[in-house]
This record gives sequence, C-alpha cells and structure tokens, in this order.
Amino acid sequence: MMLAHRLHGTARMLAACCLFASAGCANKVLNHQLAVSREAVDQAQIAGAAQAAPADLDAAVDKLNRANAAAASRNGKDSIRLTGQAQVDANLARARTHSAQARMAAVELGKSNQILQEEINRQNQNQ
Amino acid sequence: MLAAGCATAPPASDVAAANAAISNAGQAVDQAAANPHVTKYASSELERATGSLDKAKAAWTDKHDVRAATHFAYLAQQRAATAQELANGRASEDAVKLATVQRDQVVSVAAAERAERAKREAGQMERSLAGFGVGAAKLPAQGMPMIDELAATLKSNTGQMVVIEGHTDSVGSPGYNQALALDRAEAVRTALIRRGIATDRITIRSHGEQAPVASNGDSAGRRENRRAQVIVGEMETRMMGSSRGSTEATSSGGHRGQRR
Repeated sequence: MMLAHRLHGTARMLAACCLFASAGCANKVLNHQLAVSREAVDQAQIAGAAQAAPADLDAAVDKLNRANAAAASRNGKDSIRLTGQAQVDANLARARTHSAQARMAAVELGKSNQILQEEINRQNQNQ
Repeated sequence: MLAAGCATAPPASDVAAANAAISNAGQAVDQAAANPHVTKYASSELERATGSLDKAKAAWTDKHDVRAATHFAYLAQQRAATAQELANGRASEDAVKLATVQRDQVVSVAAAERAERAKREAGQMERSLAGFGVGAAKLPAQGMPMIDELAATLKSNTGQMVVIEGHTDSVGSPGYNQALALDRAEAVRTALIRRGIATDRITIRSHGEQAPVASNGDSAGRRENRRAQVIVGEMETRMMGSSRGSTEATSSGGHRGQRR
C-alpha cells in the first residue's frame, strides 16, 4: 500500500516534469517564431515597405502584435499561427517593395535613355 | 458511411469559409504556377505555396478544422503572391540590365559620330566603297558615282591627299587576302588617276581580312567587308587613317613588287 502510494507519487512527479518540459519546448518554438516574424517585419521596413507596400506591412505588424498578445495570454496555437501569417505578410511586403523599386528603376532608366538619345539627335542636327 | 454519419457535420458557415479560402488560394497558386517567370525565378516560394495549400486541403478534408484550413489557405495565397512579386522583380531587374546595355550602345554610337564629325572638321572625309565581287578587285559598278565625287573633291582641293585602304572578307588565306585587298585599293587608285588625280597624292594600303566592318558569318556581312575605304585629308598621307597590321605601298614605292 505504501509502496503503491510512493510509486504513484513518482509517476505524478514524472508526469509533471514531462508537462513542464514540453511546455518549455513549446515556449522555445513560439519564442523563436516570434523572433523570426519580428525580423521579417524589420527587413520589410528596412527595404522601404512603408512606402511601397503599406497595406501588407500593416497586416504583418498587426499580426505580430496579435501574436505577442496571444503568447502573453498563453494561447500558443493562435500565437504560432499568427507568427506564420505575419511572416508571409512581411515577406510579401518586402517582395512587393523590391519589385516596385526595380520596376521604377527600369522605367527611369528607359526614360533617361530616351532623353539621352533625343539630346544626341538634337546635337547632331545642330552640327 | 456510418462513421461519417456519426461525426458531427461541420456548420454550414465553416463549410463556406473553408471552401472559399481553399478555392481562392488554389486560384492564386495556379496563376503563379502559370507565370513562366515564377517557375524560372521563384520556384521555391511557389513550392512553399503549394505545400501550404496541400496542408489547408488536408486540414479540411481530414479533420474539418476550419481554422487550420483557412490559416494554411491564407499562407498559400500570400506565398503565391510573393512568388509573383519576386518574379516581377527579377523581370524588372532584367529590364534594367537591358536598358544599361542600350545606354552604353547609345553612348558609344554617339562617341563614334562625334569622332567622325571631328575628322570632318579637321578636313578629313572618309568613304567606303563596298560590294567587290568574291575574289575580285574590279570596281563594283555602283561605286562609280562615289569615285567621280572623290575625284571632283580632290580636283577642287589641290592640297588634299588621299589614302586608300583595301579590305577583304575572311574567305581564303590571310596571305591571299592581303594581296587581294591591295589589288582593290589599287583599283580605286587607278580609277582616280584616270580621272586626272596625280599619282603622288595617293597612298594605298592593305588591311587584308583584319578589319571587318560586318560579320563574316553571312553573305551580306561578307559583301560589306569586301571593300575599299578612301580617306581624304589636308595632312601628310602617312598621318592619316590607321596603319595597324597594314601593308603600305606609296604610289612612288613600287608596290607591284609586293605582288606575286
């Protein structure tokens, strides 16, 4: 009887340990995902997404804030999903920004080539 | 059937939400996959989008988990859009590269035109007489008006000297072409002498096949290369034109001795 009770106690302790370990593990994953999302949002901001892709950037920031809030209220599942969404939003904002910048560069260069050609033509006519 | 009957049927609103999310994401992924730039430049992002779409479908069909399904569908949709934007960015970068090349071309053409103008202003004039027959040094008929014009210019500007440079295409051995090019220059010289230009005003040179102006890879380009270039100017004939890799023969220098 005593032995059984002690075994039961050990099992309970073991179970508590496992629970603690797995909770710690989940926390680690969540914290990592929160950091990755924060980094993705930062990168988008550095790229200039506030000008080129404000809606996507806002969505990413909003999801990151909600992910942090969910993590604080111990809602791990919602938090991890929100970090995933924040990442794809931030990546989209960054890609949109880069593509808009490259498009603008191509247009500008095309325009300046045209101006250059016109200038050369004009000089040739004046000769 | 029995098992399905036992499971609680998902609410109609969940069915609608999950189906709409999966269908929209599927369309976005299909559109991205149909973009050849995406498959070329953003294939890994497209793969991630496809993976998320599969997870969304699995979450719905296997577990009727509407939140997981809409979550993964959202990831798929955003990733498909990202793939499209990455591909657009690369396409624009290609356009930038092309425009840079075009700019360099415009600048170099302008520089060549400027150099040509400077030559003209320095009293030099350059004419190209192309279209000699294959292996032939006989003046092409269409070149005669140019010869007449050159002779007239030289007659009215008695201080001007003339350098005639002969060229060939790349067919035949370099030695043969060196001699053939000199024959072409000689043919132009003879034509000018017949029109009353003094022999000592004329220098001829051969560049052989070494200075093509067009590709030797097709017949039109080879025809352009079978030519004589005539440079008229106020200065010493030896100073005019390039002499790189040329065989020079002044009119007084017994050039025929170089021919076999």
